[in-house]
Amino acid sequence: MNTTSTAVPTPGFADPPTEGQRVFRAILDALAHPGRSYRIAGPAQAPEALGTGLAAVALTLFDEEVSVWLHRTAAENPDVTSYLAFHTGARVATGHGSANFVLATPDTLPALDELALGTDDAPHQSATVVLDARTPGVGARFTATGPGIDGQAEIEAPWAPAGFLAAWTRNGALFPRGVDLLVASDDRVLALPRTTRLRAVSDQGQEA
Amino acid sequence: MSAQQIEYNIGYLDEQTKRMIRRTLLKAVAIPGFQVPFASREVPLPRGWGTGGVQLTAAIIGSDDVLKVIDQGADDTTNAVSIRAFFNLVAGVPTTTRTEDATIIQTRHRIPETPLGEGQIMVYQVPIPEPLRFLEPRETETRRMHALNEYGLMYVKLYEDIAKYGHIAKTYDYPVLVNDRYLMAPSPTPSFDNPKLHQSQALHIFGAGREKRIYAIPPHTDVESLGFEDYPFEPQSFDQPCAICGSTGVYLDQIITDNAGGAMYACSDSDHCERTAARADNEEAAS
Repeated sequence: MNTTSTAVPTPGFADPPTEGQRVFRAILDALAHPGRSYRIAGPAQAPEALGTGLAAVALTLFDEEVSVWLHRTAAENPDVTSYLAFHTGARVATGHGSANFVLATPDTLPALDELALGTDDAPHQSATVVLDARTPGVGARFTATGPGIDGQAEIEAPWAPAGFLAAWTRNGALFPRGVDLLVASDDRVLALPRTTRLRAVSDQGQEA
Repeated sequence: MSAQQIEYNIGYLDEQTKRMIRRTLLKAVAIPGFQVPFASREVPLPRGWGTGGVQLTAAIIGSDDVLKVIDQGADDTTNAVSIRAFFNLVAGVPTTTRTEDATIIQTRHRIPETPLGEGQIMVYQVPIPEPLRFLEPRETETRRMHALNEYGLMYVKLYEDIAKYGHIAKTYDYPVLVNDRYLMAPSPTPSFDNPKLHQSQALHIFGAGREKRIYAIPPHTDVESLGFEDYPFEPQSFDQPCAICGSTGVYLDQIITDNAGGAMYACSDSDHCERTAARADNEEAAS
């Protein structure tokens, strides 16, 4: 893993069209089946502050047409900024309020309602949050309902930051506006589109 | 035939275009039924021949996929054969006519009779994505109507049908309400196919190349065909079985057989018809 502060970025995908397509299909499947996790194969190496999972999402979806907000540790890390600039050309947004993509860890996730939420006319112009699930949040278990889910689904969410359920419920109430969430670890991705409704499940398996 | 002169990127489109379409598609899946604008590109077939569907397929297809293409239900018509050959050439994917073997089914105006399974993706070629277009020609207004969830105009149209003809006269592109929010045109599929969209196991994605719109219905999503309590939606139905394979409860094409107006009715889904007929032949031979 690249630990020195060199500005020479680590390599991206060895075969961008093929690997990008596979990662994209995993993300599409994840978004079409909320809460279900799908395997993604990232690049062989990636900046430590991104990890191969977030790097795979970035290489697949980012280019010069998108703006990205990075949490502070990543934003101040030249490995990350040079990697994203070299491989994707994505603009780094100064504020989280206007970014197309928001890269955050559970403890750096901005308030969801401060992000780009789209408008009633153009609800697609909202942010996609890419959450780094390598470090756990406070954790929670949910039952999820909504499009893409047959009946209801159980979601184990060790990545959930404090107050996530309330924030996600507020986000859902904005529909059709609202943000969408991708949760990536080194080799898995799961997604929660804005249409997914969550309810908390307590440790005893009783719905709160 | 001379050797191929140009080496195309996998799926024909360049990577930047694919990323743009992919980002659009993710938002389309996140907002079921909402038409997301995208920067439609030129592809090597004329607009109106499925450029939206081709761009969607190009953006999602990979070496693990098996592609089926149908044109009005048939695997063997010009449009279907050409598009299958195109992706076989530019993406190197195997193609099939069997519905259950396909991972991606690009379609013009039919949903196969064989039930779709989980993990399959239906790609629709859409000519007019806006269900309100013939009621309100201004795009600025229809966008506003979608934003305000104001679909009274469509109900008035259906009501006028009932007042004039005694029933809702729309038999294709029958409007649906997706996830109880967005009015959506299911592309000109016959209303016979509308019930297949409701709580489907497959992901349905719609591409309109000329009109530059992409929209989607995720699996397990409510898709309600509009109607009234006293005049509910009624999909088309057929009295007779298929003249070739004897199937009932399938969508039939009328085929004129002589100059005196004689006609036969046969399955529009060629894959379903061939296999049902072959199975019947086998059973006959075995008995």
